[in-house]
Formats: sequence, C-alpha cells, structure tokens
Amino acid sequence: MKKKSYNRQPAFFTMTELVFAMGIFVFVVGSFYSAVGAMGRYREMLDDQTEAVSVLDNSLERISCVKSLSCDQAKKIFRDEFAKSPLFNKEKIRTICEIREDNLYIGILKENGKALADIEIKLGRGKTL
Amino acid sequence: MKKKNYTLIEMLCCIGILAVLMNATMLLFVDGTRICRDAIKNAELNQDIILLRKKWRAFIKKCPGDFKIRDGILRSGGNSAKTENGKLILRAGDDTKESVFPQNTGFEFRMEKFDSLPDCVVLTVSTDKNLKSRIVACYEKKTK
Repeated sequence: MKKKSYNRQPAFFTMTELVFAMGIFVFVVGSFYSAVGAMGRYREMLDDQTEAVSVLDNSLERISCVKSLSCDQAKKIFRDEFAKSPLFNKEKIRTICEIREDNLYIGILKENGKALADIEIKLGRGKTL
Repeated sequence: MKKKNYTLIEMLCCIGILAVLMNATMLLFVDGTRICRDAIKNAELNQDIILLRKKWRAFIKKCPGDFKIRDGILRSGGNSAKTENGKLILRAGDDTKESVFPQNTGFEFRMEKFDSLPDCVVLTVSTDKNLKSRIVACYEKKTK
C-alpha cells in the first residue's frame, strides 16, 4: 500500500495563473461593456427611425391634402416637417428629396447613406410635377 | 510542512480587488437593464402614439373647421379635444374616445397655417423620457 506523501508544497496561485484569471475576467467585462454600448447605440438608432417614420407620416398627411401638388410644394412640406423634428439638430442625419423615374422620392438617411425611412410618391392624376 | 495561511492583508487586498471588479460589472449590468427597460417603455408608448395618430386624424376630419384653442381645450363646432391627467379625450358629437397615457405625459394643441398649403392642427405628445411626438392632421377649409 502506497503511503500518501505530505511533503508537497502548499498550492498557492502562481503569477501566471493570476494573470490568466485576470485576463479572462477583463475579457468577460469587456464583452459585456461592448454589448451594453451596442444596445445603447441600437436604441438610439431605433428612436431616430421612429422619428423619421413620424416625419414622413406627417409629410404624407399634409401632401395628401394638397389638391394640385407640385414637386416644390412636396419638397417644401417635407423640409418644413423635418425642420420641426428633433432629427433636424442631429449632424449625422441628412435628407433626400428628388425625382426618380417620374416619382417623388423622399427619405431620411443615416451618415452611411442607409435610409432610416423613405417613401416614393407616385404623382398620379391631378398631381403635377 | 505547515500549510501557510493567508494573512489579513492578503485577504483584504483580494476582497478589495473583487469588490472593484464586481462594482464595475454591476454598473454595466444596471446600465444594460435600464436601457432595456426604457426601450420597452418607449416601444409601448410609440405603439400607443401610432393608434393615437389614427384617432386624431379621424377626429379632425369629423370637425367642421374653425378651430379654437382656449384653456388647453381644442374646440370646433360641438366637438372638442381635451387632456386630463395623461388622458386625451376626443369628443365628436355623441362619440367620445379616450386615449390613456402615463400620468406625466403632456399634450399640446397647436394650429399651423400656411399660405399656399393646407392648414393643419398639430397634437404634440411629450413624456419625461425626452420623447416628443408630433401628430399632424390637415383639414379642409370650409369656403362660404
């Protein structure tokens, strides 16, 4: 029968183990931090998107009440609505209002050119460009 | 060989480091939960505002025109819109519609008139969460 040896060194953590453990902890905290940051940015983007949809909705409501719509009137309405929204003060947000294939395209874009919200209005009978 | 015990200093150092790390993690966790909670509240509020848009526009279309705003009440003929403790009450004849929002929600009525464009009545809904929503409803002027 083997005798258990009791002359082993007591099990202290070595420096390598401690550094390794700290590294794992820092990695986990860092991941968590970046996830929270991403959540905050996503929420801000959603708020902007909701506001952009609201601007377009209000613009459409006003455009729909114009009997003989011209392109300038539509642009004027859209710019007026945009100027009254909180998005107007954000530097990263820009607007687009142009004619594409006989339709009026209006949109609110992010810094990278992607649309937060956009619509294309088909100017039918009674509506003139 | 006698096993070496941790000294008080070592224990305190260890607890201190752990406390700092836990504190940082907890702060992040609290931030995360707050962001989620706010996002849920905003989403619910936005949903209510979408419904309110329809009600508001339907109400304005039913009104005969000649809108007047006095003491925070919008009147047009026999129809009226007023607010009461986060409640928006739209009364068009016998038909009364109520929209219930959180207590701290503010409502504001405003008339906007333009030279060559249709006039509109604007309802602004604002909350303490810095959320402000503008609801536009146009009406046709009754010509004599």
